Parts: sequence; C-alpha cells; structure tokens
Amino acid sequence: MRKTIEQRLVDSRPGRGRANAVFVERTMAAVRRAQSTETFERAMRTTNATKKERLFMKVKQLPKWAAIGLVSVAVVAVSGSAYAVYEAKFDPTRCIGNTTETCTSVYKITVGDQSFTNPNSTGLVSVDRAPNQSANRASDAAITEIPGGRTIQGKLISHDGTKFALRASSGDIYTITGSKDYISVYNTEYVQSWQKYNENGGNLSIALSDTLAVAYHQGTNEDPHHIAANEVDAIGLVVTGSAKAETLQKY
Amino acid sequence: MMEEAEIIAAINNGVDRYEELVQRYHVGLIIHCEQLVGDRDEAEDIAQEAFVKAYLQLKKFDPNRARFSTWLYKIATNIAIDYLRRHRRRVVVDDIETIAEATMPAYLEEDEKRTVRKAVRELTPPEYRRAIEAYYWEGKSYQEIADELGAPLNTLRTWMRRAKLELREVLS
Repeated sequence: MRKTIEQRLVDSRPGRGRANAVFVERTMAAVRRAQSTETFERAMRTTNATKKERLFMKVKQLPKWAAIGLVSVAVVAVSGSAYAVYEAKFDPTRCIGNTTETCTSVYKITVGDQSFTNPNSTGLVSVDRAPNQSANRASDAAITEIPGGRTIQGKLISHDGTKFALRASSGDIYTITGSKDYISVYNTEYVQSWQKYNENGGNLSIALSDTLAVAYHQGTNEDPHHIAANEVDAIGLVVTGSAKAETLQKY
Repeated sequence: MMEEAEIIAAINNGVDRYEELVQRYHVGLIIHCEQLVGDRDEAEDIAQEAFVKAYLQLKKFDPNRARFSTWLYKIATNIAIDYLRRHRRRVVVDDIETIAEATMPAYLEEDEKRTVRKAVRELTPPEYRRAIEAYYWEGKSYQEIADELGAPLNTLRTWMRRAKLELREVLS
C-alpha cells in the first residue's frame, strides 16, 4: 500500500527522545499505577481463591466436634488479642493508684516510684508526696485549673524510658532528664509560648509543686490518656509535679 | 526491529524499559488518534490508555507475528472507536479503518527517511518547515505551534496543508 505523507513524516522523525516530555511522563506514571494495581489484583485473584478453597475443603472434611473446637479456639484467640490491644492502648487505670509500682505506658514510658494516696474518682488526684496527675484528652479542665500549671506545646520526639526529648513549637528541642514521673501525652489545642518559661536561660526548673503541661487539658486520675501511635503528630506532654523531675534542659 | 524485540523481552523479564517504547512512538500515536477523534486532548488520553493497555498485555504480544507499533496502533484504534461510540457519534468502522490506515506506521528505509528530512528542510517559506517539524517531529499541537509562530490557528492549518502538498510533489 502506498504510504501517505503523514506516515512518511512521522516515520522520519529524527531522534527518539521525549518530544512531548509532559505526555511521556504522564503516561509512564499511568503505566506504573496500572502495574501496581495489576500486581495486587493478580495476587488477590490467585492466592486468595486457592487458599480459600483449600481451607474450606479441610474444614469440610473435619469431624463436627473438631470443627466446633477449631472455631472456639479461633474465637478465644481473636478476643484475647483484642483484649490485649485494648489493655495496652486504652485501659485508663493501668498506671493509676499503684504505689511504688513500675509500669509502662503504650509509649513505653516507665512510670514508677510514685506515691499515690487515695486516688479519688473526681477532680484532681490527691496525693501526699509527689502530686501526680495525668492528661485526659476528653477532659474539659483548663490549664488554669491545674495548680501551678504551665503550658507549652510541642512534639515528643524520642524517649528512652527516663529521658524525653521534646520539640517545642518554637522549634527548640528540650530534654527532660532524670525523671521517673508519671508522664502522659495527649492531643493538644492550646499554644502558649515555651519561650515565656525559658526566657531566662536554657533551663527550666520544675519545682516540687509544679505541673508542667504541654496542653491545657487536665485529666483526672481515673482517666489518663496514653497517646496512640497514630496521634504522634499532635501530642502534647504533661509532666506533673514531682520530687524527682528537676530540670528541662535545652540542647 | 531487533532492538525493539530486545526491549520487549527485557520488559517481560522485569527490566524497566517501557519508557523507551513510549518515547519512540508517542508522537505518531497521538497524531494517529487525533486523526481518528479530531480532538487533541482526547487523542492524548486515548494514546495514553493505549500505552497502558499495551503494557499490561505485553506478555501476550508476539514480536514474531507483528511489530509492536502496529499492535499498539491497533489497540489505540479500538479505544478510539469505543470513544466515538460512547460519545454517540456516528461511527462507520470502515471509514475509521481507512483513516487509521493512513497514519499507521510506515517503516521507511533509512535512505527514504533521509530524503523526507531533506525535503522538509528545503520547504519554503520557513513557516511551512517549522510547522511540519513541530507537529510531526516535536509532538506539538496545532495550538502550541500557532502560539509559537504567532499566527492564527486557521493560518497554521493553511500552512500545514500547503506544506504537505509541496512535500507530496517533491517526494512523489
């Protein structure tokens, strides 16, 4: 067949580069998207169908009592895991009301050497030696209601059990060292400049009676909030009054 | 042809070389689709879809039976026909195939290509040459070329028509 002028022109294109670079890039992005979708769908199509069929055939062949046993074991395992997750993440009383007991929050912050007395069910915790309170995300108490409350906002960026690094909203990084306080982290809304408390130098001393909070909400002893991993970008930090929390050091 | 088969074999073995094929054929394929649907933007979308489809079905493609570009253009032609049907346009498949045939890859010999390039270089006035180069070799749309040359769109269409007539005479 006779070649048209269009065909001859297209075929004579010098070079083989990206004449229309935008189109080439857009197309390659679409190809990669399609490729990943296809890979995933293929895996789902092949693997799942086979596995499902095999499992179904095996269960079908089991005696009735064995099938019931299998289902029971599965139910126990699932509920046990669910409870473990709940306990680790949401159990509000886990670290409260124990005397000189060390326990670990979901953030693996060690809590210990605390002297709680008569933790009550409403309001702030009543203690005899080191007053300890913790944060509660749902609480509507303001920082002004916390005795000696101070507020900063920042992000807890690392910890190793006794040492906590905090990036304040100002961008400065602080550490809390030598502390075995009850520390709890929670969502924050309130911003009050850290600099206000740091204007006289790099260190901020925490007095025995101080409550240092990174947000203005104050929890009750009954309902501290241990932050979940997916909330890490919005955390504040509460260090409540303690005999052992001495210094926030800037570094 | 040999090199193309190597690229396809490499892609089927997990090597990321598909972009080479996209680079090689995108200009012609967009023009092909534009001839079929008469709209540049739609043509680019159809050409893109054809590249994606071809990629996903590449394992089924047999380089011994056809050239990749012929196969790719056929995929694009089918997508274009579907597009025209979806948009309730009257589609006569024979007509579409005739149009498609006119812009399918030609597979010229090297000396033939050189002759065409020479003819384009010698086009006068220079606007003709620039218009042809920009559209057929650089993958630009009529609108982009008109903007570049500072000419109205219809003037550019006239230049293109006259340039092709001139080339047809020279190359006949």
